[in-house]
Amino acid sequence: MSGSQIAIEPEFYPIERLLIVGPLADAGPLADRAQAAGHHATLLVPDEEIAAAHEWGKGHRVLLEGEAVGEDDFDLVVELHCTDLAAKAEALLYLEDALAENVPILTLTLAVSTGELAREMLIPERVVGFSLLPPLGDSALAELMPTPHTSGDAVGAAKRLFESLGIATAQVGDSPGGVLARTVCCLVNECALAVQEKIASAEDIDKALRLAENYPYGPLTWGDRIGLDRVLAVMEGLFAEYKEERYRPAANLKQLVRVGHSGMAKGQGFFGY
Amino acid sequence: MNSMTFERITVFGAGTMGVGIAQVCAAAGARVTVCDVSPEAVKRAQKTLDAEFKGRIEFCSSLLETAEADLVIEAVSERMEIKQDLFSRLDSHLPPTTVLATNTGTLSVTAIAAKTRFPERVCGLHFFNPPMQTRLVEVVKARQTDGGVADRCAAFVRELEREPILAQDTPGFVVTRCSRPFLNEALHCLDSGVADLRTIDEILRKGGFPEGPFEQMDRTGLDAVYATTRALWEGFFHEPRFRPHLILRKLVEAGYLGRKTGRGFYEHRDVG
Repeated sequence: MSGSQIAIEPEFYPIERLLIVGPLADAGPLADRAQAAGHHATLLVPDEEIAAAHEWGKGHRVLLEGEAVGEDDFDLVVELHCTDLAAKAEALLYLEDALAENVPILTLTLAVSTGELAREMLIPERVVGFSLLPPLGDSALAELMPTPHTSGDAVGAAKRLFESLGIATAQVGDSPGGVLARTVCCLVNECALAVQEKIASAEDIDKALRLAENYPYGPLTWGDRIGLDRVLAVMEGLFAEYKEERYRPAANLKQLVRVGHSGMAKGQGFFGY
Repeated sequence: MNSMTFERITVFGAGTMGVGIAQVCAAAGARVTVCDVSPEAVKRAQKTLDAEFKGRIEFCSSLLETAEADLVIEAVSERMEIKQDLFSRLDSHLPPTTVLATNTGTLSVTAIAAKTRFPERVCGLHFFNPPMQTRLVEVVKARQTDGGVADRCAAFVRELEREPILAQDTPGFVVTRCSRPFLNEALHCLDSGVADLRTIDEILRKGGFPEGPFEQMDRTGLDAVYATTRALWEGFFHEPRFRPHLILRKLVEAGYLGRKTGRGFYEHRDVG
């Protein structure tokens, strides 16, 4: 499968009015990027985050609790649930029902394949999975993962949207986490195992890989930036998909997530912030 | 020059790594002797090193001439029986206070130390290729290594203007082990049809890595990558996540070893 063969007609499908759905930590930064690129972004966040979404402060429209999505209100939807797959399934079913059937639904497939999500949907043609490595404010590359059912228009709209946000795209086979998130999360997991086995300190492990391999971040710091809850979700998604021992999440990773120490955004992960 | 933790260094083994380690030590002001049982290897090393360090590095081809060293760094070929034999002979020639370090990247420092009478002075000092360009050195603590010896080795690494990290003696230590998913997952992505190799390399470069995994393997040499992965897998009792990939083995069997043979994962028309 190659990244460069998507035929798109430049202005075929409008991508101006965006509905961005998901937890504020991901939806907020993406809405900021969309706004900066000249799109109209509307946020649909979990009820308990509505107040915080109003505070987010870049003048985004925020849907109120119980406020319905009109079927012609949006050109494109980006759905960003990652760690809570039940919430993801629920959001997708709601969106499918609420929106006109030609509106493409882009859904984050860090922890699950597009096919798995589209299986439950009435119109799988409009579903495009994509993998974007958090934090979404920094992501420079989106891997698009259409299924055999996904329409060319939907893929084209996804590609144009990301490129308009300054995010390069590549098309890859449908798999949890694509190439980049899978690779980075497996590195984080291996380093977590090394910490657990007391091979070296977390600081030394990160220093070693930065200096010897020239990685942009030490993997444990990288995991803290991504969010350890998301790293864990990617590993669990890979384990569920392939049933291979190599994707078994490290116990200390699970323990950190369980006590809320899921990284930089929470002030504590492998390191304190 | 302030005094160094170890003043007189003998580097045993005059191959690429030995020569590189000698350069790093000499550049920091240590008194270095390069020793190899092969007079030809010594001659070649002398030719390389004299350009920059003429008169400042000594050469020898007999173990007996290492008696003056404060630290011996072994960088002979990566075979357990050769290293054990050398350490056992160094152990009987040198005073028990001389620190004996091995540059092994994949073998057990503990098993090497076990062949000496004073194993507490044996330590791993894992330099990376090329030593002059890499800032990291892994200080590896075997089961028998005295804490003070490891600390002095770490201090010495800092005096070499390198960054030490302290690792326990387990297969692949930190770097070789913890970086393995970068290469292994690329092979799994390839064989499960997630993407082709050019796309995988491009995605990972755009994701912030300095080079793609297939480019890296072609540069390093597929035979070396295969041998290292295999040693790691065997060292961890065939732990499935370290299992070498069949694609890698087939390329090695075919003699497609990367840049050095003109073909590996990619064709390299400019070389070979």
